[in-house]
Amino acid sequence: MLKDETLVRQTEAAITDVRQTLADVARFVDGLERTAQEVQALVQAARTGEANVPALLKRVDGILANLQGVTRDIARATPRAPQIAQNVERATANLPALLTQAQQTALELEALLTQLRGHWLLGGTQQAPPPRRLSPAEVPP
Amino acid sequence: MKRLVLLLGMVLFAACGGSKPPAQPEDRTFQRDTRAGRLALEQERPEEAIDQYRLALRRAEERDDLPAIGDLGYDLAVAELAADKPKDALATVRATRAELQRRGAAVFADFDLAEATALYRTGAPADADALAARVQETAGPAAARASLLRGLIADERGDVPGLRAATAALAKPTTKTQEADAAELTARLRLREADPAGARAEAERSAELRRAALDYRGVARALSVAAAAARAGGDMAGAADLYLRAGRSAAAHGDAVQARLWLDQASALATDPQLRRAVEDELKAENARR
Repeated sequence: MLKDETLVRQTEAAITDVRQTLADVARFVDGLERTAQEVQALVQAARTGEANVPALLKRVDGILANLQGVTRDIARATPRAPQIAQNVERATANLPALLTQAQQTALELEALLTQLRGHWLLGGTQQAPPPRRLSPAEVPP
Repeated sequence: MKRLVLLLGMVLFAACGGSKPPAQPEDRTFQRDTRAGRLALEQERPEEAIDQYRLALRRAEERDDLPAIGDLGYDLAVAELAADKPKDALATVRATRAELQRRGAAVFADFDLAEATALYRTGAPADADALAARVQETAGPAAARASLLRGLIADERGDVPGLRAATAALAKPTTKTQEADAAELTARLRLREADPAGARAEAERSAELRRAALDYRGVARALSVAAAAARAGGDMAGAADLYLRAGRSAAAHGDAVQARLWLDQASALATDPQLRRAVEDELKAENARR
């Protein structure tokens, strides 16, 4: 009897954990989707020239901040997965792959945005920031 | 089961591989405003660059960051020169210079060049020349630009030895911009030395180099030198055409004073009816813009 109740409690706790984790996954997948939509809108704005330079930069910074939040959510949720999986292996069979994909997407988006923020006008891959002072060759006589 | 644990372990490992926080906090607002100023200038939006550099300068003042105040004062002045506001540029460099000097900081050569250019463009060529001479004594790209400035001033004064010296200072260009500067001064020198054909060829080469460097203010100036060379060589139709192109380029660039000057020259020289019509159309359009 006691053994049965313990098993029931353990199962209930495991199910709660799974539900919580799935809710976390759903939340940050939503976050990723929103970020991807923002990136799409940003690239469109850059292409059509509808937004001015500082406005675009501010939007990139904002999207990057959101994305970093999503990445942190993923990192927080992931360590709990092995513990849950040990209890209910079948229920979480697809969870690791989903988490990996979500995290990979977040990292790729973050890398893309970092590149966009610095060099979206040039389309280059240079990593070092340009010097603060303009070149004297740009002083127009 | 083992496979699942291994997979989860990989996910956990990946989760820990996030970006490291920077060692020191960065002023992202300052960096963003500075970067936006540069990007706006590169996008030929000098008015927008002025706004962004003003914000960045204000931020540098909030930080009480003297090197940044010097750099941003210079950047703002360059943007004001690009926006054809040399008086504003002069006011900016003077205010910044006063602060640098008051606080015992050295003034860098690029800064002197910006002030010399602002002086030249506000009608103080003697002061501009004296300051540019100081910049010429320094090593680096500012010295090369100072040579161009001194060459332009010497040419306007009819000072042939001065123009020759400035041209000689650019004898070994190391960049395309310096090559264009050297070609322009060589063209002006050849014109002074009664070699209009050589002058025209060098001026047209300079215009091509300026065009490749997206320096359209320089394109218009080089075309005007080519026009003067064509006139000196007796090719009035060619001169009218070149003055029209110089005036049109200047007008499109927003330089109304030079545009009017060169379009009037084109008008005075043009005899071909089609060319005359083109000049009149451009003058009408220029009048409508002002």
